[in-house]
Amino acid sequence: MMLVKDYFNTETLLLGTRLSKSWDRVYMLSSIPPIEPSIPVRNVFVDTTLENTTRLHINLREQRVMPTIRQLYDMLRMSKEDVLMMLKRYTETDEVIDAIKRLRFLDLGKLASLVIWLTNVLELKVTNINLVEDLETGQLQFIGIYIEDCGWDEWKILSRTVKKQLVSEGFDDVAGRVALVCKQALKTRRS
Amino acid sequence: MQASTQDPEKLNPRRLLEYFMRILKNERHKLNEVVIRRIISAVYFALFNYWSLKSYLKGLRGNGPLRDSFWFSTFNEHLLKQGLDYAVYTIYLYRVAVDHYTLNPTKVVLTSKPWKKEEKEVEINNVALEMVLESAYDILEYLEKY
Repeated sequence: MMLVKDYFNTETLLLGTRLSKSWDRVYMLSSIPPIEPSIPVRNVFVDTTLENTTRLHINLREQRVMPTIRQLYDMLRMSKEDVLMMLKRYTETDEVIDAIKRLRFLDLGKLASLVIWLTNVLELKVTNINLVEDLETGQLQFIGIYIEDCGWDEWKILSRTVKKQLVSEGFDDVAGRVALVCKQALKTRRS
Repeated sequence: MQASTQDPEKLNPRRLLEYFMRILKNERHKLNEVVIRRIISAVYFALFNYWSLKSYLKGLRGNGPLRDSFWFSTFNEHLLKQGLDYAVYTIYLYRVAVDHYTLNPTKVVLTSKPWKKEEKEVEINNVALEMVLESAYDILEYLEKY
């Protein structure tokens, strides 16, 4: 049986302990092979229609599955509506999603997969998604994913760990076009 | 000058960062808001220049007659891929604040339209400078190995 600590590195575990308060309820990667690449993900989540992320969340917990971002992406490719509905929960206006689509800045399914992974696997509290532009040129710089309840040191660990995971799964484009932002870190450091 | 004869280390901002850090740690009486604003702005562009030259020498091409003018977005994207999100965002936020906003503290919006609602409260002070310099050192550490 593969334990979660074998799956993520130590840094992630430390981060999880501090951030989610739920790593003591560590999920074990199932010994029954939902993660094996040879088994299509959609066969694992048999009753998952992905009507909403709550449903997905329940399924992940029930099946004690730690999916990769890639597996979530493969699953989300089934429905563009689910992707949009999920992302719009984190954006204040539809303009953000529309702009990402219009500029072809990033595949929305990949963005949604990352957000689901952050909220369901790392159990981070993602509050919103927004765009960061260059004020002088108007050029879109990156997509900010804003996270609550993490400080400066955790932000460093989170950034490095998540980007390493994205790159290792072949999501270099997401790694370069998304910035994880710990809002608290910027607040607490201020006098 | 031919690209092959350029030494990327001539734009290495380590000495500049050390100078700024020395002021922050030992010569705080020299700091006022103008000095802090100019340091933060200089730090961002010093790192950008260093990355640009190293990238050019590695074959990356930008705009301009000599194709040596690069987009900030390319720089940011490169660093984000390395997991330097905290450093990129912090320096970017404060760079915008010091160069584009007048009041202190202020509320910074990092976009022009139409998703303007995300405001960041920013105070330009010694703590902000420390965060920016710490971020800059981490970026520099990566760039020196790049």
